[in-house]
Amino acid sequence: MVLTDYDRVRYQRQMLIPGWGEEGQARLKASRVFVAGAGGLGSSVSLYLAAAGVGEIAICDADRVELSNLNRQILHTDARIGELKAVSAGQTLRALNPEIGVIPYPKLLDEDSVESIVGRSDIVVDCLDNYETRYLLNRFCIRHGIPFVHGAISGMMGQVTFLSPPETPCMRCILPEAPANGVFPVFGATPGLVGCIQALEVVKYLTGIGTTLKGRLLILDGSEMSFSSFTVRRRPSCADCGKLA
Amino acid sequence: MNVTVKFVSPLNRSAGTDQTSVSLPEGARLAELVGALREGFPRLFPAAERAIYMVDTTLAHQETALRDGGRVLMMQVLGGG
Repeated sequence: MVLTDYDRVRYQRQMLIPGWGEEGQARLKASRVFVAGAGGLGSSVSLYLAAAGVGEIAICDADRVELSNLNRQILHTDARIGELKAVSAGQTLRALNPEIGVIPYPKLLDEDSVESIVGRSDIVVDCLDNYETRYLLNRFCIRHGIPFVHGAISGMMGQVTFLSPPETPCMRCILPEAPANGVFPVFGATPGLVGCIQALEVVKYLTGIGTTLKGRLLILDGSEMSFSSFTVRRRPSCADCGKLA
Repeated sequence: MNVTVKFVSPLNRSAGTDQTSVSLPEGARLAELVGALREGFPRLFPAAERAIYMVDTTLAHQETALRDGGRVLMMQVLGGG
């Protein structure tokens, strides 16, 4: 993928990062990232990936914008209450960076739709609010060998890990059973921070610089401002990835 | 052997403390610790059964072996996005 004069100016400061350069930027430009969810996590993930010049961002969410979303879902505005989140996200991301491709999917991800919606993405980012869909994407990513950057939050706590079995565990190795869904407390900066970390993981993977959170679960507690990472291992009995070599 | 268990918010509210020390038989596994907590901290349940546990520096499962002087972190599953 060839960089234009516009690209060289727009992205000059990040291309100064050792190991990034024009080569790394060209890799970003040639990449497609699938962002599952256009809520709190999906807002900061997609905004920073768009600003960084990822060539194509597919963003999927079947919900509509509600007033109670706006303390954290900074892709959306009061004027867009009632609109489809994916469409609203597309408008915001295109305004931020008109040079990239943005594909909104205002659809539910399920067994029937996941293949056609996620398609040939280079990496999938988990910005979801439920484990049923996380497990669905987990199985899809294992099937196609696509890395899956998991993120989740509640209150002022968050977690991130980089899943790429068989090199790492999968989502179900970490949490074999889905917890009950429900309304969770959240302050907007928490998904903002966690989403930024997920965006960093994506960009490191795509450019080939740095070290990702493979095999490590990062737990952050905003109330104490503590960051801890824990080793995570595969479960040989895992129903989703246990049969991988 | 003794292990220290830290309850991450909001589980510390159910436990009534931020951390506790638990005595267990040598060779005990995480499942036995959870059983001991059920007796000492009944208000933690059923949340403790759905919690995730870190033993020292590793995400643990029910069959994970504990060690004397080990530290266990109990936290609720984070699911929001």
